[in-house]
Amino acid sequence: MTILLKQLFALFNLLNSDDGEKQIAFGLVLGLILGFSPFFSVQSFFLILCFFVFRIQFGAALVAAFFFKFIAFLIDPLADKMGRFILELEPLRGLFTTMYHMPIVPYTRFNNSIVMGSFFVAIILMIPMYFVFIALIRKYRSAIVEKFKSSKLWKMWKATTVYKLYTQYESLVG
Amino acid sequence: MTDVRDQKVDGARYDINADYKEKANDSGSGNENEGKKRLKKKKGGIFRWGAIVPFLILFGLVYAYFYFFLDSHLKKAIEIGGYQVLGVEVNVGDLKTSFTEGSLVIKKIEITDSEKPELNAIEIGLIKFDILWDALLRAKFVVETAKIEEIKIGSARKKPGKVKPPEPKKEGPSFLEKEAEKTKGRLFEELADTGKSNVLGDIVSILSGSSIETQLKSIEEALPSKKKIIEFQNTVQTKRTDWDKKIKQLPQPADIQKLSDRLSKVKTKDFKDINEVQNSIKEADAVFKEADGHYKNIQKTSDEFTADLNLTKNTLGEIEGLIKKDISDLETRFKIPKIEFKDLAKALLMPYVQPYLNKLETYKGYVEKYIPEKYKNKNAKKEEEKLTPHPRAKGISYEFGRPNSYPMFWLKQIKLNSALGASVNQGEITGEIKDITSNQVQIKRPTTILFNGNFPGLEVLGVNFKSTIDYSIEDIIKFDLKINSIAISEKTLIGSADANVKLKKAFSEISVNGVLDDFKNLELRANNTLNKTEYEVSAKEKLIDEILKNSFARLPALTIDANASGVIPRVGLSLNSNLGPELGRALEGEVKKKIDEARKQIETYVQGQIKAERAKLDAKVNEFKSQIESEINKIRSMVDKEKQKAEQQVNAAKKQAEDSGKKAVEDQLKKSLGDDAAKKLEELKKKINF
Repeated sequence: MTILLKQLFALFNLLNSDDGEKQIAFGLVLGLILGFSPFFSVQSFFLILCFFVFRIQFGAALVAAFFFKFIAFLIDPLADKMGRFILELEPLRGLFTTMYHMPIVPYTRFNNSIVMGSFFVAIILMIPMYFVFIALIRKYRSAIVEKFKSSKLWKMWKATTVYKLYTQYESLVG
Repeated sequence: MTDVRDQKVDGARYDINADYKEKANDSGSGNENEGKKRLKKKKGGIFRWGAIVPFLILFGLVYAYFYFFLDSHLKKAIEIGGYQVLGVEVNVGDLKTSFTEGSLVIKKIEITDSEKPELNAIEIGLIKFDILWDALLRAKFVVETAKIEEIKIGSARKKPGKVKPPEPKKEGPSFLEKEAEKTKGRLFEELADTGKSNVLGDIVSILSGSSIETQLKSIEEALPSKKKIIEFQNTVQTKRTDWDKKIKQLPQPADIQKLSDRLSKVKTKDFKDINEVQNSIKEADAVFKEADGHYKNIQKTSDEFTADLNLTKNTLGEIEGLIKKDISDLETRFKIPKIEFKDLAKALLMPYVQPYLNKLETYKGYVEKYIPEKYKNKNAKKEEEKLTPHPRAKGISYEFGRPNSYPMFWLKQIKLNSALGASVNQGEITGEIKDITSNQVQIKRPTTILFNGNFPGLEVLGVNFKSTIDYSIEDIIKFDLKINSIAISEKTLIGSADANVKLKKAFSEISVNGVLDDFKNLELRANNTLNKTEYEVSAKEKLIDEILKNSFARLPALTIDANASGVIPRVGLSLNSNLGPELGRALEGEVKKKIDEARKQIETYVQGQIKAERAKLDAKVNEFKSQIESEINKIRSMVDKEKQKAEQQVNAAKKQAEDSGKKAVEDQLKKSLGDDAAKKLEELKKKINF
């Protein structure tokens, strides 16, 4: 829980900084894939393992996964139709048959129409959404963070002893 | 916020604060070297080392759960799930799973008998599954061999098992419940009716000879037919009054006489001129029209009367129906049975058969509740052979089968093996169940069940069961069960206040075989022969006692045969026994005689009750009919006569006028044509066809 909260605070800090937009966008994209994947599947397990082990912006991934889980739920009927279409494609039949009989791969549940449809949607959205996320982060920073930083309230807060103590603590603890 | 000095960013650690120097100067605590050091980009490495330990702890916890708690939780899940599904307490002695061996071992499964909770319906000493790792890696559940051993039937429990109370009725039945209700109705409708009726009790009461004559006399309330007759008498009286009024409104003899007088004054000859002719015709025509109006009025009234008479006839018909119903009601009231001797055995043996039917009903309920949707809707049948979609809660999961590959689920073989043990309830069983699978098309084999067994302790010998469940090519289930001998003791065949027939001891030979085609068309034959029977027969009435004792003594073996046929859930069931004809022969003559006597008494009673009133009613109706009819006919004939007379007079006047006119024209022509006028006139007449 501490790790999760720490990651969320780190996301918040990073969002309000001037750097790391690509890292946030990458984390959000991985979260998108996680959101579109079934929770009990080998790919979800693999992604969560990656979040833990590698320095991926976990907070961003978590927020995105939570958000896109709802989106995935809403587009289930569409994903179902797309999944059926893909799984019934004759040229891919051989590939799917091989995958179906390979070790581990069936645990991705790729043979389920909704899983396949959602995965397809996630793959299609992955690259465009990366750039959309970057644009949104930039917009957020210029439109909201800058205004907030120039507000009197923020300047007053910066002048307080509590803030100074906090910044000192941050520099020491990191 | 932006002032955070050492911001951690995934994949790298940056000193990102542009204000750092300013900040350091502001605070006065920093120095140039430290600032430069911080400005330098610091690589944090690709791995999040800090998360590895928590992850390992989490992994360790999951492993600990599987190691320490999975078995006990699975055991509990089987017990709770078993109770929910079967409605009786299920106990599991021990359960062990092995991840490395891929095995599941369950010891001592006890399933409570719902009818005798102190006993187990079945107890299985050992169940062992060896799951194939190779298949499990491919998300397929394949069991190479499973073992089921130490099977006991009806073994004693340590303490009585819980039996689930019936669930409270929901508001409005679901579709399945409606279907199930329909099934109950259809399947047992006929048998339930015969079971409810106490045929033997009725026979006893008839044979006891207690006359119903005295009971008939004590009936105080009037019969419905009698009430209706009296009520209708009043109706006829009212009708009579109404019709008298209507008759008075019809033309009376005085009115007709007036018409006659008017008609007699009409001149029909010796007309002086044409005007006189015209006036006579006009007057005769007026009289005719008036008479015709009267006639039509009478005709209308006559038609109304005919319609009313028809209504009266209908009511008389209703009364006839009521009389028959009264007789039938009284027959029911005095329990005059409608005995079909060929169905007698069915009615008598219902208490014996009913528990088996109840069990069938329970199993049918389970099947309906848990049968997969694809078998319920047989219309969407095998669209593709290789690609088999399975509808799920979400989406469809496709099976991409190929020859010699694993299906989603495959229990290759279950070996049934049970040797005789210390317990008398333990059976000697050998058998095997092969190829239970989610996709028979893929493995190209049907599911087969085969076992032989004996339970000498329970006196059940020569059990042989064979079954094939095939849905690879055609959906068909075949089954064949033979039991050479089952000992039966203290089994009530007939149990009523009037008579009791108990099987003290018998050995039943059972043969059941059937086919369930397309998972809905059922053909089932069950033959049950009870050999070496010892009966305990007693009846209140001496005659019945004798008949029953003689009938059962004459039966070398009692056969009970059942045939079920139809489309599930509407299966018709017939039941036959050699007991029926045997009892029928003995009872038929005596009982029929008594029943006919009783029926005659009732009929005489009813006829006696209604006779007087019925006669009065008939007399009133006939009188009413004849009087009104004669009144109408009388007036009609008078009017008809005057009408005809008027018509004749009009015609006569017309003829006279015509003749006079012809003569006047002839005279005038003769005068103008001269001496040979007669000849010329004749010629002219011929020419103009005069």
